[in-house]
Amino acid sequence: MARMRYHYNPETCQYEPIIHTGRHFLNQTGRFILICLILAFGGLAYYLTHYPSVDENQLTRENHELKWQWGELQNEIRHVSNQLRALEHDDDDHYRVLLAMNPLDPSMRLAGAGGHAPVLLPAEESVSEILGAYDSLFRLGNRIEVHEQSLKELEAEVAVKERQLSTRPAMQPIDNRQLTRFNSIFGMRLHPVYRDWRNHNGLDLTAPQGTPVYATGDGIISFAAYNGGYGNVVYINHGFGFESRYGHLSKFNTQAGQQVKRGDLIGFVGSTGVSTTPHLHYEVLYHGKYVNPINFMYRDVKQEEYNKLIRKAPTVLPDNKSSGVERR
Amino acid sequence: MARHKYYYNPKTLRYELARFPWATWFFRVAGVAIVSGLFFYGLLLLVNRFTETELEHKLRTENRALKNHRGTIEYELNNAHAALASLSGKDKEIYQRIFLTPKAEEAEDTGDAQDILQTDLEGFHQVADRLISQTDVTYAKASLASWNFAQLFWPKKEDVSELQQYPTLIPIQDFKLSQFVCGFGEQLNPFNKLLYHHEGVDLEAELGAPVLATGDGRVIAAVRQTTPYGEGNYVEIEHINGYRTRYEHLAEINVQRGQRVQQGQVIAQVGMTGEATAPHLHYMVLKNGNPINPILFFTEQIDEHSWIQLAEIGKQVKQALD
Repeated sequence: MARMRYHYNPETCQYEPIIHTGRHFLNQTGRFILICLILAFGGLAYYLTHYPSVDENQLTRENHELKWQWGELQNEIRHVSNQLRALEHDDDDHYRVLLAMNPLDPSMRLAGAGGHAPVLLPAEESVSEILGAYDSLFRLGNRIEVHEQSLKELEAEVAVKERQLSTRPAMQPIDNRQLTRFNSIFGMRLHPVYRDWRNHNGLDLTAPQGTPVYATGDGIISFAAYNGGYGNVVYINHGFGFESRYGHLSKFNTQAGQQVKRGDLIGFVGSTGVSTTPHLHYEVLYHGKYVNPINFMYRDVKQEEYNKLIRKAPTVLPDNKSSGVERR
Repeated sequence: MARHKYYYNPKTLRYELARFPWATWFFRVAGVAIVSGLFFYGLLLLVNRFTETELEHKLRTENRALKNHRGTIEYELNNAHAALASLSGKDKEIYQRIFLTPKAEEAEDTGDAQDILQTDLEGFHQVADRLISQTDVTYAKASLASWNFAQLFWPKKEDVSELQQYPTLIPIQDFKLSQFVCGFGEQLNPFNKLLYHHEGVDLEAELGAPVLATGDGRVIAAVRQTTPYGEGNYVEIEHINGYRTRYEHLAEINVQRGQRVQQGQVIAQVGMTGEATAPHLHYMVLKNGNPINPILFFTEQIDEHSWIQLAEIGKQVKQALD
């Protein structure tokens, strides 16, 4: 039990016990709550004027977090854009130069229709991150589209170039191991059969009867038959102005209209037509004019390198009993 | 005046003055503090619940927008990534088809400091220290060499002009490493794709780009040829000490046989005449008629670092342009 407290009452000259009534208690409680409320309101007023609200705090945190994530997104967009720029650079300054094509106009690189414009609410447009990200993605999309087109163009051009390279006569039509004599006279010479001075339009590669003769470039066999002084002759139309002819063959391994690749076996050495001994008469024509085949033979190629070209040809043993051999 | 409080002390049988009730007051103040704190917090929540400041509104809309559009951006970005990957694949394919050698992987640009931070720092320090000490030594040597060189050559003007008679320039203006397509030595013939001896270097340049004389000298050949094979239009210059340079596959020739040319003078334009598969300059350096690697003479316009790179590129077996 709480200890009693007393007042000294000077009127009665007595100590009187202090008795707390209900009213006194109510009074005290009310005062307590009032003080608390005043303090709380005061604190609130101070807090609201000096500090951000709870929601603001939380939203700001969230906002920072989101902006950081968006920053990362934009970094990634920039990264993609840089990689694309490297590709564009190679395209313009490397491939297009090598393929003798004009580089794409920089303005054209931005003028594609690949990206699509974003649909934004007015409130969203004020957020620079969103607008910026859509904008850069939009431009990136355009550039990707243009680059795709550009690469398609390049691919087509490269395909043409590849055909140009693979069709050009660029090897010796007879394996060096079978070659017994190489007559490099192109132009005027004393003809061995007619015994007069004539233009020699090709080169003579002497080799045993039945030695395989290879197509020197990709092309279409435009003629494969007996033709006067040529004897059995194969014409290959290589396109791009080039044609090659292989005369005095003993036997054909192809027929007109057939597609051949460089290194394909097209026939066998013989002595048909105006010929004194089995040999190959090889001609190269550029736009209908005879050119010196020596420039299309690359005779200094090593044997193992040469073998790579003829590996594709079916291995055929030299056939010495070929029909259609005509000697003059 | 405050009324004094007394209490009855049964031991002394007297009323004694009560001491000031510190404990009571402490509990009262604490009570006030706690309860007003609670009130404060409750009020704060109420205010927060029922009011929205301008900033809150702005942040709320912004956050909502940022969240809503993140998905779309991520989706589009993924699409862009996929598109880029396919483009890069095609790009590599085209490179392979043009040069018959796989494209070197571009070093990922190390914009992410993360990678550097995650590397083994101790090892990094060791490497860095070693590099720094090596650099110091090299720098010291270079300074000494430079000083010696300056002692030997700098004061004599006639010696400098003699240097200009050697073919030390790169024959293309504003030369970039990427323009060096094919080096000297065993390379692939573009037509039959077989190894052959490439006796010069192929420098890629646009049609009509100026070709520079790499050193002072006399033009001993300026030949125009329209054949579909061979060197096409070419210029040959005779320099000092049996050195000669040859510039092939030219489009236009600006000099004549017998003419004297200065180092850096424009002598022709890049073309693709003769046996050229692309616009480029086939540049040869000959000493007493024997071709030597022209990279050895690229001493002026590029720094050592680029030169080493150039030498590396030159060693790769690639498809030549003629």
